[in-house]
Amino acid sequence: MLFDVVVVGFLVPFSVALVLVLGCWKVESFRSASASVALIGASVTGVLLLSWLPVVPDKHWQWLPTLASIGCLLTVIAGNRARYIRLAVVVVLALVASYTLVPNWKRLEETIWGYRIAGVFVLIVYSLFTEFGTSRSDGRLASLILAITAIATSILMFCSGSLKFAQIGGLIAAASLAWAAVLWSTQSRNFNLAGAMPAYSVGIVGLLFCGYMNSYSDLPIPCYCLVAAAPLGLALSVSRKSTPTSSDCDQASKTNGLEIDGVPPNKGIGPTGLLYLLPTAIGLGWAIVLTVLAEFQG
Amino acid sequence: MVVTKAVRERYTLFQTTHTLSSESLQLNVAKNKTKLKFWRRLSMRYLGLFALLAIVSFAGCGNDTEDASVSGTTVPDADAGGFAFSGENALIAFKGTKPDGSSHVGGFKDFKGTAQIDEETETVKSIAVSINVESIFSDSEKLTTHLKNVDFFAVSEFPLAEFKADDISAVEGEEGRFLVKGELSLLEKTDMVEFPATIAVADGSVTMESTFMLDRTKFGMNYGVEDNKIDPGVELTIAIGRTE
Repeated sequence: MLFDVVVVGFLVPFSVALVLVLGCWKVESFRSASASVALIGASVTGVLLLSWLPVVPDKHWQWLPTLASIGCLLTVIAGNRARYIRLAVVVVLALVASYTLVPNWKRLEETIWGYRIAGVFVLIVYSLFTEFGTSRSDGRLASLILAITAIATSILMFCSGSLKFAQIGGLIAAASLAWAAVLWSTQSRNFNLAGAMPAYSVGIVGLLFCGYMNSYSDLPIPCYCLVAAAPLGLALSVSRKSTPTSSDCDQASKTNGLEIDGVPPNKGIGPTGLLYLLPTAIGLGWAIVLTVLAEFQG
Repeated sequence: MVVTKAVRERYTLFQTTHTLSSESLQLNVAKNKTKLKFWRRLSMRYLGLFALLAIVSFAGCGNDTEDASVSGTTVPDADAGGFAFSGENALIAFKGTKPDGSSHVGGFKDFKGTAQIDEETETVKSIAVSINVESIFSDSEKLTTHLKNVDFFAVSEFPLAEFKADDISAVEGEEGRFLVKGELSLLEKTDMVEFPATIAVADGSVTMESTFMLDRTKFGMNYGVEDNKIDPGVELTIAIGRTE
């Protein structure tokens, strides 16, 4: 079973996402859409391969890959248009995601709108923070943090007792690992990762929410919150600008191809950079310890 | 010489104006930077406030987890001339198997049912049972958690399962053996289920025993079937009048 989760839920979508990122990378006019196209590719592959993920969503959690794809499409269309248009995309996506992802169960009748309103707040904040952070930090560090956060989310879903959710997390992890693979294998530092952040945020936050709501494990809510916290650290630290921003990188890739003059490789990525992952590590470690303990007690 | 003087004058004029313009430019840049810093700080504060609001809102949603109970279901009361059974005097157990031959067993602790008795023939004429799916248990704590999740029973969404059988007919040539036909509502689907059972009625109390295979895929519980990891059939054991 675990083999299928890894192969169907991760390796195949990763291969598709990687091919799409590299494909878009080669065409200059598509380069800025690379990250979004990869996430769409991974999500669509998941819907096609996983029989329990219908093309037309029925249950609240089945909307996750669809929302991620719609979010990416919207951000690709919005492109580099005015900031308020991109902000509108974030808000619309947060509204639609909150409406569709909060289940209309009988026991939630009284609090459903509370969850939806809170969901809109959380998604907007998370999207803006991650967009802000990834657009102003080294793309390789950002992609690494995004990929590890998505993988951690998938493992957390496995710990919380759902292989389906773990596989959905695997789709997001596959796309983000494809971003990281391309950014780390070339000299480039960014390809508009920020563009995919509204969809990524809906994927991660939405999955954690659905996982928590459906879980009967003993994992406490801080585990879920901590796992998602790593990308927020990027936004909080960008005031100390020591690495090239996405605009520097975009400019450089337009003028010199893939290389940025005068920027030594791996600048800003090291033990300090990995500190961003500390909350995620704590959240996931906590979840794993509780799961192992429950297994022994069982 | 005249040309050189004129060039010098022009150059001096250019230097003066250029110095002035670069000074004003620097001043503008400094002003803009201060403005940007202010707006950045302000926006970060608003975002912080926004995040705080979001956390408070989420906390305000509270814990909606409440125990699903079988009390509010359509199972008729035993007072209406039937025999009542529950987890205290009955058993609903299952055995799930894998193609490699391994298996897991489990059951439901909390359920409530009624068997209506035909006074004249002293036979059971109908059975209705409502199961609190959240009370599911198995031989592994981890499996129990997994069974409650969306992969199998999706307990949060479907906390109750119901079975109603109005067609209970005797099997010819087999005394005490009956064929029970009814509707099982599990997950979001309702499907006809029929199974043989040994039923006895004595002094107003009912004993019933049955073991049969149930195809879980009829109820949309497909997980592990397509990749041939878990068998679609589940062995169900229903026993009224015993708990072991």
